[in-house]
Amino acid sequence: MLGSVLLHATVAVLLLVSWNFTRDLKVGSVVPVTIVSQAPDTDVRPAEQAPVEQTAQTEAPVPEAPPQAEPPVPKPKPTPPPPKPAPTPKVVKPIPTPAPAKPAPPAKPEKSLDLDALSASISKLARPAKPSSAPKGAARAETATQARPALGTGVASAAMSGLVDDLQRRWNPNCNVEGGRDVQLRVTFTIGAGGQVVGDVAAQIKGPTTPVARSASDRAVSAVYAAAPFRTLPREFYGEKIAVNFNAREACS
Amino acid sequence: MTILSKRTLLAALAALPAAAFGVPGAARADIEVNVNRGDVQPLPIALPAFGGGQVGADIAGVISANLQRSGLFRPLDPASFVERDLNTAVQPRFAAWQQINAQALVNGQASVVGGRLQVDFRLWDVFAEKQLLGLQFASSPENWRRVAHKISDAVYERLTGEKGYFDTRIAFVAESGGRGKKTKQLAIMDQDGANPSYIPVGDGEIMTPRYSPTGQEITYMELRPEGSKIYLLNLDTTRRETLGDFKGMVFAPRFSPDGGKVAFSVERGGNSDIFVMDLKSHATTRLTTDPAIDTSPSFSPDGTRIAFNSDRSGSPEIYIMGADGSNPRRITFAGGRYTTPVWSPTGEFIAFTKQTGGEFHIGIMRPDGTDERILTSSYLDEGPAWAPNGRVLLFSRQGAGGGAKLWSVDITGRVLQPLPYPGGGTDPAWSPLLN
Repeated sequence: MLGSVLLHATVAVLLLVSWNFTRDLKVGSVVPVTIVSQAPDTDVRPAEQAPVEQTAQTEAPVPEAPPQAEPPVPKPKPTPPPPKPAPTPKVVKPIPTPAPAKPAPPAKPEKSLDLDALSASISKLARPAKPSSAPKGAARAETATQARPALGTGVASAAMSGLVDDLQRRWNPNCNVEGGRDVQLRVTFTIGAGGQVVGDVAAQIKGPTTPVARSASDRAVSAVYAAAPFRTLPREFYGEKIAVNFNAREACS
Repeated sequence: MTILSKRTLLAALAALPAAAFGVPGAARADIEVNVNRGDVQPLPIALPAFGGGQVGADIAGVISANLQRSGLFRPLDPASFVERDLNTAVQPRFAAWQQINAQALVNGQASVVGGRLQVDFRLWDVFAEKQLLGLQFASSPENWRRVAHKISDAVYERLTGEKGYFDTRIAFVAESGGRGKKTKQLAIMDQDGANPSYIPVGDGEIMTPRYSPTGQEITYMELRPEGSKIYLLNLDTTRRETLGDFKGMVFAPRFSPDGGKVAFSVERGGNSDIFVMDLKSHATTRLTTDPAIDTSPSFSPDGTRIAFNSDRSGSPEIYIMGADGSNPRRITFAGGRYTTPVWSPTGEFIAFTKQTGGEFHIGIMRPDGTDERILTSSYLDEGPAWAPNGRVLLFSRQGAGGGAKLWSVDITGRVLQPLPYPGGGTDPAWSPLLN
């Protein structure tokens, strides 16, 4: 009898605890779940990115780039040398490092992620194919426990804000033309190896396709090409289709 | 359950920007980001000398100066160019232009074929690595500046989406001579101050020249000791005719947008009112009857309304009325003395001269009087005139003790500069784009 009472009490306590836990997760765990599904890819192959980046870097300083620039279809862009450090270390370093740096329980990253993601207007869609990587993780349980906080807090959101920073530096909206600040554009492109843009960059104009909107869309597309390669993007983003909403009203205010 | 709800929320978050844009295929992207800041600056553009010798170099120089003066472009220093000897038939080596951060590149070739000047040019998007424009112009060799202005307009329009204003002319009153010996002449020059010519039209003092919508005629006022007259001057034939004889002083003429009418003021016994004359029938209609000073009429681009200046409330303010004189209403209430309203060609703004705080200003406001922006301030700024694309204003500026010069300012007020014309000038009027 006493055993039965104790058993019921234990079950009740466990239920309460698990209910609370569930609620906590609900509050701020949206982004980490998605990112965790991509974590395994991230920390496996940092080394593979090096050759791609190096190629791009050697091109930049050499003025005889022309012959290289013309033939290749994927457009190897000699990016401006100054602000961008080699991408490889960026990707590689954060993944292992932040894990110990943020020893806090998983709840912390979740909170900050939610706010960061919203404020930075960065979002990552959970693709139906990718979540399946979670179950795969059985064999990589150790990796996952380290990678989760790392990606949840910093790597993915840092990669995204790096992408946004790159685009902001290269986007020159025409604020001084009447109607220029009212143009809203959505530009899509696919990321290839080394953060290169693969294939065409497509622009959609929200609203009437006026000459001002057309030239604005050219500028946004040009910004994407100018900002590429996106070296802050970890390898698991390669092959992803990225949509960028260029908001001239904000940029011109 | 928890994961499911997380994903749902994630999907909702990710869909937010897409939903805001209402783009149907938005959900197809794996990642969606918003870019809310930019590097707002004049567009860096490379304009190497066109092929074809001196004339090619001169054409590129004029285009470069035009674009720079607009304030929307920053022509790059030719010394930084890596690729030389560009050919209009061959793609440039984009990497060489990306290296110097040129966002656009214009290259061209001038040649004289059968006594005609032929100029080809290409406009390239350097980072997208594609041609945006490729045109050819032909003209007489001495007309090379005009070809350069036309190319400037084409480049400007393609890169901004706005019509250009470089192939235009400016009519103004040229001033020369010192105090007491000042002479004033009706003059016309290119918008960049080149090719000034002076038109001998009479012995009186010429004031307020205004272009017709076609750019082929000018109406102006001539003041003589015995009174004033308004004239129409045909620029092709240089023939002029008067609008007629009026009792009292006539002044401030301006064409209607269809060119069929001229509105002006007539002053009699201290009371001036606004009239409009049909140029075919010469029938004149009085539009205002208030015992105050009503002057400076300016039609809206659709011809249905007229902005004018009146002191009927006690101080000079700007009013709007129907083109038939109906429903006049005041639109300025911010204090100061408002004069010379001029409706912009786009209809979005009215430019004006404002006197306040011991200074004169050129400003613009919406036709309902809102969104007033003061663009300039000085000892004496007055007489704004719009560029045909409604983005730039000309006006005359006079310092204390100095002569008046022509200046320009864009509607942001950031691009303020003197016109590259060495002489003095007042009363500017900007022609429409030439054909």
